[in-house]
Amino acid sequence: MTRWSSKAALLWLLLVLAISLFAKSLALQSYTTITADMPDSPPSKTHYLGTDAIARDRFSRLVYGTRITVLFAPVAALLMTSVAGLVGGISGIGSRALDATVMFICELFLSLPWMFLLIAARAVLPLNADPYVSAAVTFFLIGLLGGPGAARVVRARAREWANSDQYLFARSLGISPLRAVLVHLPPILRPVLTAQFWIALPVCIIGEANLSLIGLGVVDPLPSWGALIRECERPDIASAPWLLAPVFLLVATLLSAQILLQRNRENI
Amino acid sequence: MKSGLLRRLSLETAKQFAKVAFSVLLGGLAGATLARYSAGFGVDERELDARLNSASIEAVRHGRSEGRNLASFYVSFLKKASHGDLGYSVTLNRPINELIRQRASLTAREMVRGLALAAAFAGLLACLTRNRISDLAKYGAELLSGVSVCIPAALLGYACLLVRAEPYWAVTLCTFPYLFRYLSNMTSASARAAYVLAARARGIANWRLQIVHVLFPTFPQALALMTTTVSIAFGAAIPIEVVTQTPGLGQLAWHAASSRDLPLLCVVTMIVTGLVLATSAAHAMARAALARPDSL
Repeated sequence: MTRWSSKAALLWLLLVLAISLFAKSLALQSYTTITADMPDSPPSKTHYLGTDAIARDRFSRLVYGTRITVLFAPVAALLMTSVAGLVGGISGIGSRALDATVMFICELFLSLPWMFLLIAARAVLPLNADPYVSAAVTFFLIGLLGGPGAARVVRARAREWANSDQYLFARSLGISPLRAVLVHLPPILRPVLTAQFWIALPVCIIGEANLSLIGLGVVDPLPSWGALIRECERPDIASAPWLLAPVFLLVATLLSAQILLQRNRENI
Repeated sequence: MKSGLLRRLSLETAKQFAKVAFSVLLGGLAGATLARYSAGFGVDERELDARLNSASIEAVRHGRSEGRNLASFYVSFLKKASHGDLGYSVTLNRPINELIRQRASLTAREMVRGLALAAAFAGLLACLTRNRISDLAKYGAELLSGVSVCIPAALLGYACLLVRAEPYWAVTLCTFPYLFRYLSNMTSASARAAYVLAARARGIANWRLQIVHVLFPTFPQALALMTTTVSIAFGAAIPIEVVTQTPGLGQLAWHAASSRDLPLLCVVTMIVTGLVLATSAAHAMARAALARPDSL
């Protein structure tokens, strides 16, 4: 991985973050505003990416969609990492019976394809909820259900620590198990959890995109990258390449995140 | 020696069988619970049909009330399933046995073709990349692997529709990055082994070295890798089948979940859990059979 590619990746991610933070200033209008122009019009000076089927400005929707995806995904990744830390930590420092039970539950979660779990869990909730609630629920489920996979990694590190001389030494100094877990364990788990967070981030973005593409993710009128990509199902996509703008944003962002992860791994 | 191996194998088989059976039952119960407590469960649009009289509406209500008590539903479902009756899908108006029979073969074919193609491409490109035969192949493979892991499976389904390709190409693209990355690492590790260095020092031809000493020893690990990729392939098959409107198990899973069809969701969850766990159990048993007694 060359230095310039990781610099370009970082620059891209900063740009996307800036778009999401300054969405209100960048967007030409609100994502719900229906213009008087023709619906489904091609790009023009007033609508950089044209308008959608009900005459809403595509560029504004893309900017707001970037905000929704970029701001919700880290929260979901944080939730995923927290679940992994909590479950893996308890399993790693707990008794053998507790460890076996927790790991069996994790394995059961892992045995079901993630997408199937997401669809089943998402379908349980009302589909006609408020758009913001549906977006929050989508990302919450992605974060919650993705935890067990990462929990195994955390559990391995926590168990290694519980069997280490460091823990034995701490206990021999009279430190209580609770204090050891609360004070000594978090710094040990921090590198693993940080790595898991960065791995979880693209997983959350791609999970939301998949759910939205099959109609179970973020609902209209709220835009997200996944919801905006739905327009690509049109058979005349080849004659309207501007519809691929959200695809480009999604792929470029995930690729940049991957390049930085790879670079980080190489440095370690 | 032989009896030791047999004992080990039978123990592992029993352990794996019990694990798969328990997980399948638990998975089915979890699926049923999700559907039972979902919003809109028990609602039937036929109740709004003005052409039906009160007796017919009552019959419709009675039909839907079967799953209201989760425990009794699950017990009676298991009883019927043990006799080969998987129930009836109200939303698709067909027996579940028939639905599964028709759709399973389609999804199985799609997954087998997709996985086989992905494994062939990944193996070939891993070899080309490792031997630095072509820089173009190296960068091309890394770019393809990097980009395809960033594209949602459903979008690949759309791409298949657009270029009129079979949906298994989308499954291939979804599983290729995982297989390529692991196979590259495996062949690299195999090439660094001491016996490969010794074989090279003895002047064995490069092609023979690559095939016999580098590629062949990675086969058991590659097979194990394939078993873990089944879950990824099925996960990808769900959105792909939904967007390409392929009447397979993935689409059935989506339909069962989104229409809150309790018996159908139960069966699909059990099948998916069984399929994925059976492949990982096969992997564990093969490992037990191949392991040397002193390593256990």
